[in-house]
Amino acid sequence: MQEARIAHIINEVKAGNFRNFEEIIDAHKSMIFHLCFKMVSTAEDAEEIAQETFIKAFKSLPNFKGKSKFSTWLYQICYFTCISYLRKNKNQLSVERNVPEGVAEEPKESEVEKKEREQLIQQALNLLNPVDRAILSLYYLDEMDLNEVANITKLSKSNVKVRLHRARTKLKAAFEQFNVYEAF
Amino acid sequence: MEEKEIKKYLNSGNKANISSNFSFKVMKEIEHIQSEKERQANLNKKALRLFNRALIYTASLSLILFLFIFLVPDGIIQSTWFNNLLEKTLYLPLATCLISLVLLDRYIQIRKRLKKG
Repeated sequence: MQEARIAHIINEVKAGNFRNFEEIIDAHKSMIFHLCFKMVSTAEDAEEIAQETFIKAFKSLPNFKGKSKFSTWLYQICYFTCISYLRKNKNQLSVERNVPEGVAEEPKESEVEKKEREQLIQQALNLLNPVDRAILSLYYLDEMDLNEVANITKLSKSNVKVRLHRARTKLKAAFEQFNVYEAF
Repeated sequence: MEEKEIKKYLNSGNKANISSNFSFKVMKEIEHIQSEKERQANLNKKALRLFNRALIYTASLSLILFLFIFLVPDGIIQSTWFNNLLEKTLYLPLATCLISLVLLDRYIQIRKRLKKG
């Protein structure tokens, strides 16, 4: 979605035509959901946080001055909503993240193998902390540059760089631990 | 680990899709927030009108009482009970003045809230 179109919708929403906000939701829901999912690891929670993100964005839309890209601003809200959610549900999530070791009892089809491989990768990813997962996701999947990632996470550029390096090293070790390379 | 490799692994993690009625659910919630906001704004407008009226009445009353006490010469009003009342209750105009000041303050606060939305 183009920034000019977004600016137009924001102005309309500010003027009271809030129904146009749906267009913004449709354009950004997927990317927001995936960042949430990478951070909290369960689809239900990710959807709940994504919903909260859009509501927060709607409420603070009058404060959006357009200094950064709208998507960056939205990512920022999403990132901090995830962080506060993780803080609130710290104990609960650590139990949920313990993915069962035996993935399928009757491995017959390639579908099961694929699922098993996904589980292994997820197990390895879960060893990283949520902030590192978010940084990896923003940098590699959303292809943002270091400045943008730093802007979203409110960390310094050098800190993001260091975290990225550490996350890569940790990920490599985790993949070796869970034999992810063999699964591919 | 190479960049391509990381992308491949990150993409192959657990997959999940957002529910198809996600936008609808969010819009429903936003609609609720918006209607609550409008209800609040209407209440504020009503309160503003009420305070406005009360302010005018008390301020006028206070002004009239002050006029009677300080400007109207003694004995011009024949009613003794009224003169007695004014003499005995000098605090009355001060009290009404104070009330009107409090109302004015509330009035300004509600106006500010309405402006903020």
